Amino acid sequence: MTVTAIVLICPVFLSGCWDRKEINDIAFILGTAVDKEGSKYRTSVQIAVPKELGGSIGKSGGGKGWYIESKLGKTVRLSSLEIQRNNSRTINFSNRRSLIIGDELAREGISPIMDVFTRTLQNRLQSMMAVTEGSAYKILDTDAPIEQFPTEMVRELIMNFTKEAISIKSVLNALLSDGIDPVLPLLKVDDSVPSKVGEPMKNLRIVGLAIFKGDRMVGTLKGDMVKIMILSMNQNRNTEMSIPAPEGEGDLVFLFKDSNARFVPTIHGDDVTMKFHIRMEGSLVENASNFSPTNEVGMRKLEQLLGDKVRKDLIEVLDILQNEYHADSLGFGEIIHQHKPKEWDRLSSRWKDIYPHVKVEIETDVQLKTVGQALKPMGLPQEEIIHD
Amino acid sequence: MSKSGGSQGLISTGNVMLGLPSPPIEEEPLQKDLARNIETLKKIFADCSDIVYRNIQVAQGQDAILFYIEGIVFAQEIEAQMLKPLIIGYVENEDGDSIESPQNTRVSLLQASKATTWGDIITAVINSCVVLLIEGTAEAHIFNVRGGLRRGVEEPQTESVIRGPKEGFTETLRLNTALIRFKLKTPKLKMVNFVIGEETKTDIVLSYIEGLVDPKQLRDVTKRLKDIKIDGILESGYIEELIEDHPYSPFPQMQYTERPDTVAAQLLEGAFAIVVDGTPFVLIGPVSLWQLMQASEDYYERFFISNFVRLLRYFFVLIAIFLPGLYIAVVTFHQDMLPSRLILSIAAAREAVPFPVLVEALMMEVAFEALREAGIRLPKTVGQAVSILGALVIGQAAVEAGIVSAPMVIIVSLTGIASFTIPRFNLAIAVRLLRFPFMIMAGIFGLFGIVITFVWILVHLSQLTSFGRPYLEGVSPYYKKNQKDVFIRMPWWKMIHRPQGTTKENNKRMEKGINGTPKPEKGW
Repeated sequence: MTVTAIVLICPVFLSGCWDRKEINDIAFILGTAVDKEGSKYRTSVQIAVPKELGGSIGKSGGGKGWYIESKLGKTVRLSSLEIQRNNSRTINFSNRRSLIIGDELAREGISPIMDVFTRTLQNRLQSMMAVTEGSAYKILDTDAPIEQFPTEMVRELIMNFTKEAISIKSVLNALLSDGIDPVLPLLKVDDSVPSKVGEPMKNLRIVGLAIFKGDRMVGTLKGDMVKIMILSMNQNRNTEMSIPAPEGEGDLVFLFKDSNARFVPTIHGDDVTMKFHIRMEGSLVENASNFSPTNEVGMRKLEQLLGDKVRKDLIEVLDILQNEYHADSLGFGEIIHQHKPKEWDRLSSRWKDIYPHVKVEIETDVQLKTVGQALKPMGLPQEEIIHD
Repeated sequence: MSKSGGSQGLISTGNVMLGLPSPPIEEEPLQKDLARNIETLKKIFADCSDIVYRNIQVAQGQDAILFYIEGIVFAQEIEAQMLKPLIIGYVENEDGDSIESPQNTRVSLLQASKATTWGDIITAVINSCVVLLIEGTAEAHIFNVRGGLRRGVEEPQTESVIRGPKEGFTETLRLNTALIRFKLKTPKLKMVNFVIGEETKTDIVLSYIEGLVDPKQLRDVTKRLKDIKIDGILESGYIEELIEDHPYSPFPQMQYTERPDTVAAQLLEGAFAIVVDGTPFVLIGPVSLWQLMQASEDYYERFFISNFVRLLRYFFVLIAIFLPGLYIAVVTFHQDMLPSRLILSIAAAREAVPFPVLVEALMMEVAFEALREAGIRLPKTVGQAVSILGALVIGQAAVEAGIVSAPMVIIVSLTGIASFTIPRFNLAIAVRLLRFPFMIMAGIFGLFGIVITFVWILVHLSQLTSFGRPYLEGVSPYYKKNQKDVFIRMPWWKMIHRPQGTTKENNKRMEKGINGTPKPEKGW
């Protein structure tokens, strides 16, 4: 009995450090923005102010619920320490929603700062990651009126952007894998309304993709090129595409909820050809033209046109990636590695030189569904509609 | 002192006098002289205002005295069956013989016997008998006229069901045994009598089904009951504490119930029951932790519903034990365990609270326990005031004053509700007690403290026995057959055998082949 008691009581006192910390002695960091200023890093953090968050005390409404603390340091950790010195509560990184990196730092390389975000236990690898146009700390100070915190908005935006959200973990994966370069969302502060309409609020949006080569950002992709990138990376959630009407005038908008893209490599010596096949299923969501694709032939024509657009855009994107940025963002190297490991062993050392010469054969399979829906433009009288 | 009379000084009834310091009067025999007997009697029952003496004359003008204790006897019966026949018999038969044995010739009462010592007479009188002493004989005639007003059969207050028998035990022992006998109409149902308590002389019945109960266990219980030497037994709780295996365990090792159907069901699974006079609560043993989680209704409702309810109960037991501790651990140690928005809401709600979470939680839990206790003890008329005060004070007002945070109120309420889902009150109390060590360990060591405390309790539970049977029987030691009625309840037609462990032989309770799909006759 005594032995049992001793055995049972021992583990309580023999098992490590005591780290009791009341929740109200903790400053929760909701997001971090890292910029480079000269040779130093500027770390800016958004810290939650619980008493402004409106618990049950009824003090809510006054403040924003958060404030920003920004300090310079030789490393990210050192600048965080500076922040801690300014704070009566222990800063806690475990609930960081997003990590934002300024484009200046991104262009110099993100490897030096990645260590601190993975080493300590408090850091969550699921934090979303993004690059900004201009300085990153500006993102922290936006209004983001619909969410509690701007960093929460960043998180939600990124989560809705791709199928598998771009987090610290996925960026690290891309950084550490052979034959694929990371791609990060590109954030920008945006006014909610034009100033002539009223007092604008500062809001956030994803304007494009930051293309990395290794750990350095080499450029950006914007507009329709982002859509085609997302489709080819097989990360499509809800892509909308518009094409001009084949007859008559105006545009038609299509929504693609379901798509499947794949690359298959064929290799002859140093000649690498990637066969790209994409199947997209979508439906018409807006007909702002006077064209009415009410029968099979019209639908096939639209499918054809959409396929052509995908082909054209992808060729354009590949041209930029291969010849301008030299970034293997679509992970051709990794695909070869997976499909033909022996060939990859032969090519991997020279992949940098081979990549720009990789040929891509594009095959598209666009299917428009829900034919039963009203396809005719609704607002036009019958005579003005052009039938195919 | 003349030593006439029958067997002198022998205490021959089953009602054994326990360990009294043998004052001589108990063993003294009766005298032939009635006057001296009355004198002794009045000395024994001095200052007992509830004892009634009635002087009468029986055949040949012999003086006689009837005495009994008022209230515990059936007075009308005495009048109709004793007084009238004796007096009328005397009037009609003035020159008849002396009465040798009135119980055979005159008095038409069912239970009658004779006694020759004062000890037997005392025992008889306090056990609701009428005693007749006649001049010239050193023998007392004893007639059992047990009666008196007691509560009738009512619906059990503490174990109500939606579906199932609505009759509950009462304070009358014989009524209680009868209620069991109504359920189990077999001579194999045994009822062994004990009298425990030097002053209370409480009748206790040990009931079991011969052939199902483990004989070794039966011997053990009989010995434990016989070993009890105490001045009084007022409730079955006395017996429970005096015979249980581990008196220092917070876990109940016997089940108590107000429901005859529960007793019958347990007897059929090889358990024994102890019925105590004067209380509606019947003890059942041996018991396992799993049995205490089962409600009688589990077996009366269809098995889908029973299973759902039973699993819900197990889930809420875990909540009742762990939730306050988990909350404390997460909020003081593991802030990274909760989703960000949740932890921020908690932080916001706690911002104005001046106490550490542990103190806050202990305050609230103690307040809740006090409220519950007050609710039970208070007269029903003021009960409402307590609930209003409680809801306002430990609910809203405390939150608004910033003394307690709203999440804590939710945690405490949820824990309270959870502890009420445990069907057995004694287990519920144990669980409620155990959450305090969990809370304190969680407040000091975090999740690690919870794990350690849980291991302690698990070790304790594994060591615990109820009348020699493992407390976790069925799960540890594992019996595959018992799984049909531990966490789930299989439909009745699947439970062919009685639980292993309690019954070894004769453990089949139904014939195979009665399955759930009887086919209607053709032609429909």
